Amino acid sequence: MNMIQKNLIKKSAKLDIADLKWILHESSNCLSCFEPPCQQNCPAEIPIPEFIRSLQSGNVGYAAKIIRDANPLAAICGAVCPEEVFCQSQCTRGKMDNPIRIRELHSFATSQEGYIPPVSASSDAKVAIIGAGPAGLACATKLAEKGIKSVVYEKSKRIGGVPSSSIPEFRLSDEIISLDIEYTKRFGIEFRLNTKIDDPEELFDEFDAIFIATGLAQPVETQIPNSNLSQVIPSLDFLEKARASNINEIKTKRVVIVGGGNVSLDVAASAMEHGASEVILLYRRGLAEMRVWQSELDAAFKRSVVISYLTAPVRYIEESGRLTGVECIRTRLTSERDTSGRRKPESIPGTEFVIPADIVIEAIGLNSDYKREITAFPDYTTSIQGIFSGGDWAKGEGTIVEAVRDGKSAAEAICNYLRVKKI
Amino acid sequence: MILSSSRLRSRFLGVELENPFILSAGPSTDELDITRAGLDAGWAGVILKTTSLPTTDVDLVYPMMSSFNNGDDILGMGNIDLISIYHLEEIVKRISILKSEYPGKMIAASIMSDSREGWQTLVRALKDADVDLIECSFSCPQGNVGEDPGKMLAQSVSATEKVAGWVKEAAEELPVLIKITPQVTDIVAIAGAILKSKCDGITASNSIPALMGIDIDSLTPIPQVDGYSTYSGLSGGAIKPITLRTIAEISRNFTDATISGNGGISNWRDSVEVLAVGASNIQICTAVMLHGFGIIEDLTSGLDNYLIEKGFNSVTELVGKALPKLVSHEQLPRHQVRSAVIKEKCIGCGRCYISCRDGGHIAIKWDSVNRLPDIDEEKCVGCGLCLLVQPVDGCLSLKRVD
Ligand SMILES: Cc1cc2nc3c(=O)[nH]c(=O)nc-3n(C[C@H](O)[C@H](O)[C@H](O)COP(=O)(O)O)c2cc1C
Ligand code: SF4
Repeated sequence: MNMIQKNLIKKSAKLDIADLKWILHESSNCLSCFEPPCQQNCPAEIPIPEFIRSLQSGNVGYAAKIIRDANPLAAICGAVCPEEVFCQSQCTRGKMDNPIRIRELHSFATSQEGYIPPVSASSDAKVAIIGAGPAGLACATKLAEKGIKSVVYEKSKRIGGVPSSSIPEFRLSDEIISLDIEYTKRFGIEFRLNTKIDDPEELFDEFDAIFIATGLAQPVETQIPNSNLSQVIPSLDFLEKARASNINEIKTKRVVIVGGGNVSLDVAASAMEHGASEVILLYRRGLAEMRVWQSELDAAFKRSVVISYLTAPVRYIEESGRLTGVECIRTRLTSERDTSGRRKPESIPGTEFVIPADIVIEAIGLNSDYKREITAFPDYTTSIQGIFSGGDWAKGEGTIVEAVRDGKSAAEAICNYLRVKKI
Repeated sequence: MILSSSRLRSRFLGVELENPFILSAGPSTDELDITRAGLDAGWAGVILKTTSLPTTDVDLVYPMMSSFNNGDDILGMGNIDLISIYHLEEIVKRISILKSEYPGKMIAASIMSDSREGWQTLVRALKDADVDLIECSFSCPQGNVGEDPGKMLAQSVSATEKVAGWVKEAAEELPVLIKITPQVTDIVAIAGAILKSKCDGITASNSIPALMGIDIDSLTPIPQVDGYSTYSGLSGGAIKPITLRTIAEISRNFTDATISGNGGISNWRDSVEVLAVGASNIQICTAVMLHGFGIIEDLTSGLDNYLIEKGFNSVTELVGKALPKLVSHEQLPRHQVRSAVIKEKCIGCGRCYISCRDGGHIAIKWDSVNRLPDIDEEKCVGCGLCLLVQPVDGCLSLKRVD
């Protein structure tokens, strides 16, 4: 092992020479672009060529710091960011040969992160954050960096939000999540778990500003007849139980999933992972219309998930109070386009058929179940002065790294607000 | 497998060479069996590692090898080796064996000594063994044996002329090469001294004294020998530009000088370059140590194909072909040149912009929206820095504007 390779290992980790050589080789391919398009396409705005340069020189601690400063959820994003949508998709090197595998370099650098000194609050201002998910955590750390103390309210017993409750374990391990949670704990942030805030405005008694980042928890209803059967489960319930390894009832069962997005693929792969005998995902359109990430598709196919394209559920079939199957109908794509620009499907009469099933999981999207009377604005303020918002609650379903961006930007907006208010 | 052809054959100081590639004095020519393997693989000749009289103490130190790298690529190799541990008697024996086993190959010896009598004894014994050629190491980076350790003979004009004269006096008709170091103030003066001595040719040039690096963990120089280190001889690819300059400078000043090219030649392309500045043949050490004797096939076939493609009938025709275009700085034509962006090829990395901004003349404008550089012809001086950092071939070009 040479000096640079040695310098790359700051923590004991399962690394062999081949990994280190790959890291150095991949880093050396970075063109260090001017106004780097990768960075412009990273919602957390990580200075990508800079951290890659530090990796290449064996300055791995600094590489990790550059990443962490830009993204307080560096470990989680390093594991699950859809690089094909963000940084990597814009890498200039891709126009020459292959784009730099940026997420993997990021993930490596973060895995070797060194000691981070704690930060303590210096200002009298206090901010309440509702929701201990990615947006809330990012906001709290960025406020702390500016000397502002915050209290994070979380209705569940866990810190982390979606990553720790509903992303499948095979995509994101507890170990990685805890790296980020431990990081946020260095900032003297107070967590009040198992605490649901019904009326945010009551918090003004104790706090100078409030950040709503509860995410989305209300399943979109399918209107499919018999969806009240107890064997028809909403995606979030299933994923939360799966993450907590609490779903023995799925073992050897035939599972049908109604969906087509990334969450439905997570659900499908997870169901196979937890012992389902078969998993069939119903999708109204074709593969080309699926708005999903390649990594999610790969994970599902690797686990032998079957996707039935151009198929729509019509009715859940019930026999003596139990689900026995799903009546489906074949669809075809019309020339008409929907608001997303994709061709609209229509049912083909007379093509009804039945797929036998023991369990159905519905994964067609999530709505907010929280304070819809407050309106969120794009600049992170809301219709109520002093209340800010970000993440999925404000913007609709998005990625973790976008929630991180919102948390960072909201912290900025909150600081300005406090400054103007002279608090 | 090419190994030899009518184009690759040449005569060098009266010795037939089936191709221009010779194993230079080093580890690959220091054991009889290894040397045989090299000749069997197709090398046209060998110069056995430098020998000496039994009175010379060769006190080796291990480990002796090191390198400096870019990633996994070895850019240059360093050694703290000395001359061969085998003295004259053994080398004389090997010369006789190799001469009888390999009649078509050049079997040469390298020598080093510290007195007139010493040099001449070595020469006479090797001559009696019917060696094809003698090379004199005036340039071991660890210095010559003798009263002035650490100094190389070929760093002194007068010493070079004197000692080369002694050698030639004893060698008589037998051809003698003097192996020089490029690390001198005036290479022309050294070459002039060798020509005056009536020696037949120059081997240009040996490895170069260098400090290979410092282990920044222990702050010990490299290579480490029980916590200590010393200077190495730098060889391999890193020294090729120095070799080219050394040979070109000698050739330009002495059109009748016979030169054996050595130092940093790794492949047939390098060998074309070295021949084109005036060397008659090629000696290789490091590239063989790193990749084995087998590189001879690519060397010979690559060079032969090149000769065919370029219409040369023999390797001799290529010698010195680049020299007429080498002039001094004052003689260079002065023209106005400007860089130009070839938009169809640009991939929008902006490296030219950064380099010109921070190390050129702030002559490139950058269009952030379209990710396109644009040359400001008023400010561009045509230095060519931007072309060095271009990631794809031909996304920038230099054009004359006067
Ligand atoms: C380990 C080692 C030992 C060498 N020993 C000798 C030697 O005994 N005599 C000599 O004239 N040159 C010696 N050389 C120098 C080589 O013959 C050659 O001149 C030099 O390495 C530059 O050529 P290259 O870049 O092809 O290796 C040695 C080189 C190496 C690497
Ligand atoms: S776009 Fe790709 S090549 Fe350019 S700086 Fe980013 S990672 Fe490097």
